[in-house]
Amino acid sequence: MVELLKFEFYRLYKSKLSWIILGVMALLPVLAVVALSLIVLYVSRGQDFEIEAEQSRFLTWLFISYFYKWVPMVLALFIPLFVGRDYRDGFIRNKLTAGHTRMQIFGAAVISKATYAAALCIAYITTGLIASFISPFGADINGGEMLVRAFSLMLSVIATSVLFTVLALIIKNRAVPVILSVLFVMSFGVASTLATTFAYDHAMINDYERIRDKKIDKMGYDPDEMELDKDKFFNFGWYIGHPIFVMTNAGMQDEFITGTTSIMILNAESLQYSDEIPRHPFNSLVTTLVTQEMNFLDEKDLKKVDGAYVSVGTVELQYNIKSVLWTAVYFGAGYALFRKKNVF
Amino acid sequence: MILKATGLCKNYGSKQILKDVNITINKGDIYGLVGRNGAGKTTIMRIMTGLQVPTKGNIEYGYERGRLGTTGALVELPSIYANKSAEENIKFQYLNLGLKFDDSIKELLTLVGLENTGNKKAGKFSLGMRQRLGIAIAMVGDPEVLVLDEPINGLDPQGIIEVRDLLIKLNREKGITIVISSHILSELSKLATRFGFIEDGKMIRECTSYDIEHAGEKLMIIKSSNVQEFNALLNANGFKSELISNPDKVTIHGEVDIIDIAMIAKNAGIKITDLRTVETDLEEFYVDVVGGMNHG
Repeated sequence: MVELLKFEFYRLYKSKLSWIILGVMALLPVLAVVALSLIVLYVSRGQDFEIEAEQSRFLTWLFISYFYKWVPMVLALFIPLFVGRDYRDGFIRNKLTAGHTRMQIFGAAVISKATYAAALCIAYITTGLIASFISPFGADINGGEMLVRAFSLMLSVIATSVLFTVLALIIKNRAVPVILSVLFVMSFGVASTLATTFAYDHAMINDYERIRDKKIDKMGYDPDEMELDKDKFFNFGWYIGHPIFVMTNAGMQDEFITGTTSIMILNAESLQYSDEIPRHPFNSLVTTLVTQEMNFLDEKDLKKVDGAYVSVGTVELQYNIKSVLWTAVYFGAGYALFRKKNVF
Repeated sequence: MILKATGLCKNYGSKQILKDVNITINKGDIYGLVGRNGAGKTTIMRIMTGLQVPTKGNIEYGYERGRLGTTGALVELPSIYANKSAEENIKFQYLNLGLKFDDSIKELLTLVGLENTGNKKAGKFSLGMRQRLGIAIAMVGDPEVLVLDEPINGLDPQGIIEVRDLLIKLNREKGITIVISSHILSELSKLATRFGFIEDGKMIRECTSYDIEHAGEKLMIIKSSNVQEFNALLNANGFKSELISNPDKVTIHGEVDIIDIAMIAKNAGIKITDLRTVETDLEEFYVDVVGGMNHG
């Protein structure tokens, strides 16, 4: 196994493409920092520029967290092509005839590509932090907590890289795993929105109803007349979206990454680096349209609802467990197929 | 014994590729696998090298099969990275076997005549160069057994001679056991010390090169100054000889002592201008064995 790991890492080391990708990933956050700095300099027209701590923290996260959007896509292209060459050129046969077991071959391929995926993430985070630190925005990693959050995203990227490696190992044709991997990454955005739209569960809606009725009562209305139609929350979409949310880490993009559009708003409140993540449907326009439920509770009230907001620590733990479990599932199922695969 | 396979069967779905094949390969053999396309030679080689698992049957290895690099193989196409140079490909095989890079990489390249290929990518090599690189990769780490499927395919005459000499040298000097298949039976007969004849997934015969050489009646063909008198003299001395005309020659059937023949000619003042013996060759033997099987 050690021999094969050395082999795989040497192959990555000797691959020009792997270095080019690493370089590009390290450069992307720097370009983002430079571009935003130039915009700010242009807008401020040479006047003194001050940035609040909250904004600095938000921007630091913005600069380093986008690896989650870039790295999976480049891995979707790189890994199947790189691993697929072993089939196309037949070198995988040399590994088998040398006396390595299929488990060793499979394991070394997966470990090396997962390590490369981690290296891309770390390169992005590192240069993003350095560039941010040098820039007028400064770098604020929230006492190191931000790095823990980035680690959760990295674990998810590693799980994805394992899937891409497995696809390349079980499908001999090089084009098919590339297409499947790219489609998988392209579905991230939709899957994330679908999953997080239905992140809530029955207990949360019940607790919401309790607090909502209390507030309606206080407002002088009769709660019975304004009964909550729960069926509209737990409709067809919920039965698809909720299992995706519970079983996969598809929701990470929406829950962890702030959209670049929020930066255009440019006020401190909107540029928050939150320590709690909302998991309720009540601020969603779509949900309001579907359920006709008026938003009776403001954010302060919603925070009293069980499960409406979850601490980042809990969210990280949930996603980390799912990333590890999916890595194990991809590995196990992949090996079961690879074990019997005709490799010539 | 370095490898003994018993009752090997291999099925692809309902199609039976190998049918209860038994093979014994002894240490130091150059074992030639002979058979037509689709007979099952490559499948046997894949099973020997661990590329495939037999559906049924057992293989015993007379060496530590689990140790890396004990089997070197070139099965079907050379397994080389097309986007890497010859030297880099050899280095990858060194890493594959857990060996450290040293001067033996250059020696290996020189041995197969690829020392001057520099940074040229293997994908741009001729078929012959690729074959030679494949052989070099198979030889990395001095394996106990070399399994070579059609290794002289695509080689020019000079290349064929070089590969043949190389394999003989490896076998004699390093004691490497070689299992080889080739459609060029004349080449195989110059190399192999033992043969296995495969037909329709069955091992129909295993024999030594001596068995083949002595399978049929030997024939000695002699050109001499007075063929009629010489033929009569030979008959008188108990040899089964006969006269062949145009050009006039005397043939003697069976195992004979050349010195006896020479003495008879010398005593009678007959001048022998040419003398050669004809033995059964591999091609003839193969046709006999396979033909017999097909008509059996």
